Amino acid sequence: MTATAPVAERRRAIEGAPAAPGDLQDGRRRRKWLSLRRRRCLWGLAFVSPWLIGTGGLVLYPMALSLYYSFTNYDIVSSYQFVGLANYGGLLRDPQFRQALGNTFYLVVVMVPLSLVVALGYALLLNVPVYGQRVFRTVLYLPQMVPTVASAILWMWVLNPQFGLVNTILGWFHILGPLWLNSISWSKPSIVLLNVWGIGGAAIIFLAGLQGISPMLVDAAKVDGAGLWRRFRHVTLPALSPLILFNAVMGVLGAMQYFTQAFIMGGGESGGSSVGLGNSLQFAVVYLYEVAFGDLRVGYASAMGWVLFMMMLVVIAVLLRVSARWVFYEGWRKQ
Amino acid sequence: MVSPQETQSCKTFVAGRPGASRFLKATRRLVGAAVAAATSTAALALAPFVGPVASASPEQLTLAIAWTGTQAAGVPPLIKLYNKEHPSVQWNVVSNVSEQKLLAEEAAGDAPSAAMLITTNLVATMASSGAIVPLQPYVTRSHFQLDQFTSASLYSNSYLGAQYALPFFEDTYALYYNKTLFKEAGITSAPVTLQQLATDAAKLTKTGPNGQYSQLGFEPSMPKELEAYLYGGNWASASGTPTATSARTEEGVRWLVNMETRFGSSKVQRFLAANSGAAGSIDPFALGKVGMDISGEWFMPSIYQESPNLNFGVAPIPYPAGYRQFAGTGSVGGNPLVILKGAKDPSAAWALVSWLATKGQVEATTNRVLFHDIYSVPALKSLVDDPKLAPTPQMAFFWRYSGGSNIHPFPPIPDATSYLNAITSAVQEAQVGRMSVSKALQQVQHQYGPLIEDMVKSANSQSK
Repeated sequence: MTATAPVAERRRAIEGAPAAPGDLQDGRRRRKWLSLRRRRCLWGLAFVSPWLIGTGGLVLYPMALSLYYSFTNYDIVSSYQFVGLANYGGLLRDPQFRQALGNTFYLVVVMVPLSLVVALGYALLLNVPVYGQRVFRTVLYLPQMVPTVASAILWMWVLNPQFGLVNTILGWFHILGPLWLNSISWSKPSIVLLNVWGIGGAAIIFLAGLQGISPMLVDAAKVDGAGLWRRFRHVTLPALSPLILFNAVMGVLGAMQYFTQAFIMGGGESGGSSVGLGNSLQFAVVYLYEVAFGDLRVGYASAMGWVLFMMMLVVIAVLLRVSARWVFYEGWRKQ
Repeated sequence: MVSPQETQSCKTFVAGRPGASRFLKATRRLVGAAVAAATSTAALALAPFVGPVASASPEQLTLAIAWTGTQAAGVPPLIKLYNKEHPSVQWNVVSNVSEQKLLAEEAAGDAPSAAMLITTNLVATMASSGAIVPLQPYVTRSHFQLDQFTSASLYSNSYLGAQYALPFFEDTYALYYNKTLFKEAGITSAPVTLQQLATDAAKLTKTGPNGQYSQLGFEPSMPKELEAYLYGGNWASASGTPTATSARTEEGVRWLVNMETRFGSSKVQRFLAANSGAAGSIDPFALGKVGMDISGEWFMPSIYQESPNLNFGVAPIPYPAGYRQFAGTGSVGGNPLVILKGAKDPSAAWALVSWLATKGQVEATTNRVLFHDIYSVPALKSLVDDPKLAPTPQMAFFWRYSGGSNIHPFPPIPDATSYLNAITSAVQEAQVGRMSVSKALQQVQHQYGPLIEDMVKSANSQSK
């Protein structure tokens, strides 16, 4: 390799990389239309193009379009007019939207924390080295594998007030079980119960986190005289805190987009029936769906979608902001 | 003009590059394929001119129907008959097509030419958005007689005075009563007034050893829109203004709420849940555990299937004592036949829609096999007034009943489905005691009154 050889070629010779197409054996290079850097950039773009096309065409473009539609009276089939902020103003005065938001925030406030606690409990139990541990892990994860619609139908039977499994068990203790889905007050707790049943995914993430905790930390705490609770409070929880945050964020996102189970268990359909008794299972996305595809008020539904999106961002931002106080990242120090 | 030398130099240049031979091969293949495609297209295009003249194939059109299962099975034989009568067109039936699917196809510019919707409540919504076309021009052009249909069915298929759909088959409600349970309770006939119904319901209700109902006199889960009609009220005025808070509407809703609270909402719900299956697949009336129920004619096949020996009768929905003018009240709604905007051949679609609504209905009712599948109430006056064709006395009753003057459809106003959803939800909240009847209806009126009025005004101004 001569000292006058191009820099890129010398670098390839040192790194042992093969010559690029178009390079000649004697070290001279044919004149390129594009520089190496640009070509690499184009190759990179070509490889990520499926993702770029997918995100651009199926996410960003529809999002931009829905933002535009939210300022119109678009109804899918006819020409539409610009209506300014009328759709957003309408949402403020819409009691059904308020009810749907209330139902949704119930899930965020009740279902998400409860699911985290139960998932963590599952993970702690599954981490105990007992006989049949793998069987327990499989059984607890199984509900995650049941299709959403099938699990919703299954739980409609489980929660039947008269002959359902839950009330039958309560009946053994002479307790008259609630009406579950047939009651305005108990329909949302029914949904929470169904969700807690299928919490295997979050539990597996916690279990992986538990297995990643250094035994040295636990041993050090033991040497310092920490009991079971103190070891959990001061070693396990801080070590799992990034995963708790992750599961919390995913839980909030899931709760704010809750649809399928509520639509099935609440009997949502065409023709004006309520979703759950007294619309108690009409969550924000269920209402959005009905407005968009039942009433064809797509402009209004788009505005609803953007309000929900903004709310989701605010909730997640608050969660991340607050997390700085309780989430511990190993090897990271506050500057 | 490219010289042979230049072409040769290009080939040399390309051939000197790695992978060039593959590139050249691929290019040759592409050019070859393009030439072959162009040749075959040209051959196809020229075929009618160069070969013997083939008989013209019939135009292929699609009828999308919302029905599924047994009911849907009743339509293809009718369409087969139509296709036989009209050889220039070939209609194909696609079932289980919801309004969402229709709209998506319409937005994509691939709408079926004609459709049968799942409920008349969709007519106004789809008409106000321009998703379906008005039928008046076709009615006028073909001198089609609209007055051959019952007035309620015709009204439910209209929007702001214009006809946007023709009725195919209808559903109407009446009082079902269990004759065996009536006999056991010493009741000799179906109740005529709402007060008699309440008294009979109390006699027919039985409590089990666990303190819960083992038999219910009256199932108060009737369609929510019906309550308004009991005392002569309605959910909207003729001009389309919502009237959820009118005194007569409120009186009807109050009667139903009182019935539920009198028997205990929680106990009633527990009884219904215990005897309805998980997804409402079983009906407690069909099981012989309910004395009276208000339901539609479509309920009968499930009774025959679940309890073939159930001795039941059907009777008019009772009216309030002292208000005989409201006797024979009830609601009607059905499956509208519409022509979609962007239909491939609207004239052919009109020909089919008008045939299905008239001759198709007659064919379906006279053919026992077909009617067994469809099992609904016809909208043609000639059939309603002469129910000899009905397969059972109960069905004959429903046919006659649907033509009555106190039978109302849910008002054909924009946003009808959401309005009905809000009514249903508010009444349910009143039934379980979460709010008073007045407050529940005020909430609905406050929410939907201005919204629907604005939509009607806007539609009126556009039509002018």
